[in-house]
Amino acid sequence: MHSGLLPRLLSILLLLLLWQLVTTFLSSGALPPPASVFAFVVTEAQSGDLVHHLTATLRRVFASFSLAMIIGGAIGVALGRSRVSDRILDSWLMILLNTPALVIIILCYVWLGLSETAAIAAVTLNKIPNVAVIMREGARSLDPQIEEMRQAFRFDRRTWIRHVLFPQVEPYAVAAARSGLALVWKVVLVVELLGRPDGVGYALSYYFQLFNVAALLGYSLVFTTVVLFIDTVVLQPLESYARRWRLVPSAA
Amino acid sequence: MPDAGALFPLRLEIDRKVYRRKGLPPLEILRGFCLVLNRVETLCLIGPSGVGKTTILRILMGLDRDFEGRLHPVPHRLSVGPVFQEPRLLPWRTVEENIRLALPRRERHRPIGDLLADLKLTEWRRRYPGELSGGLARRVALARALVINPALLVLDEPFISLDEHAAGDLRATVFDLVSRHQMSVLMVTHNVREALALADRLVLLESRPAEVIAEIKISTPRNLRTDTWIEETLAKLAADYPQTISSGQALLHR
Repeated sequence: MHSGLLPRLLSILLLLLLWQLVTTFLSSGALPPPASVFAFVVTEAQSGDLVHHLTATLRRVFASFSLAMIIGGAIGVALGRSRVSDRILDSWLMILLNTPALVIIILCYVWLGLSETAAIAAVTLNKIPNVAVIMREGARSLDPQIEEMRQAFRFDRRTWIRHVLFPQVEPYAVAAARSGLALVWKVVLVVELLGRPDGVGYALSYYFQLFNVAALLGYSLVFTTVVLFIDTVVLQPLESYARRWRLVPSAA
Repeated sequence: MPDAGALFPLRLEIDRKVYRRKGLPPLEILRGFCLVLNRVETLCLIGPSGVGKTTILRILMGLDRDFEGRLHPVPHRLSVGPVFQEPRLLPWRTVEENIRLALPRRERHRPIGDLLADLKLTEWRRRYPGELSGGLARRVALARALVINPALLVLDEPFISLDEHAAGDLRATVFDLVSRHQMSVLMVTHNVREALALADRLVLLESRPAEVIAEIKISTPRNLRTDTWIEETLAKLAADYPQTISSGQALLHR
């Protein structure tokens, strides 16, 4: 179990307490108390809507996240290893990196129609430059002595990728994954808000039109919890696994 | 196992090797260098630091193709077993994985217990390189080169920075394996005593661009090379080639 779990729980409890106190003294419709938010979550869950929207969103997050990691990773490694392609593509990458997410989303919907493909393409395109830049750093940091060693032993391509390249870029890949997940789910919500008939983003836009703040907070709370859960249960252990050989006691 | 006969005699001719460096004049390091390696022969390259010994090894390992000259025949995979000055292990793989990865994928699961035992690595097989001492890491690097059963073992100062006892121990182990498996060895060393104890031939290099100032064949069988014999031969060599050999000896008495 994580040693930081207890203080973290306490800090969340403190936040809830503050929230309760503020609503008690303010009693305004703009900020409902925690209890009514939880009540909304429970009814929404019982009706099945919560699960429906949540799975739609998670499906999109998963698809675009995986695509972006694979495509962005391949581009990043290629750029880190070839100076020519880096010269050519670096400016493109910078432009894409600094294009507002909203522009990419709108263009995707215009070009590909209001479809699932467009939604996933938009999120993937937003995330690719971010992955590529991090993975390029990883590919640039390959140990030249080890590169020489694998050339001298003439490691085949598969062996090189699996045993030499990947372990060296793994920490970068995990960093890209963690920072990327945070980016992807935010972009997915915008994509859903603009052009999808389901998903958490759609639900938020729906309740925004009704000015149902309890619903907005409820959805956001559930979704944040799910994302944090994925980070803690999947990505953090993956990071420790990637670093396992660094944790061995140093030589006597 | 690769056909050793196809590799020998291995002829390396370097007409010219120049290092081009940004903002500095080009550095011609080798000119008119020729080396012939025979089957089951141990050849030691001796010379001062920076004379181009490692460059020669890198060309032989296929790591440097930017030279005028030729290498014939071109060694194929598994015919050259490289050992670098540093162990160069993969820190994220265990000792055993590091050794196995030198093998082609199809052969990676064959038993290597004997080799591990010969190099006294059995109890370390599941450890990561970060847990090993310098001497152990060198053993792993040697095992990795030996596991492919190369026709030619290329050693770049493999026993440097080990204490004399550990170095002697490892030397005996490696050369026992080399003679058992009928390998040729090309070794770079500063340690003339070590070269005298092991080599069939010594090649002395000097000046820049480097030239071969002497090639010495040693016909005394290895088991008859006593300490006294080594000291006497060393004294003779030092008299004949005062520059090269004295620098080698000076290094020994660090």
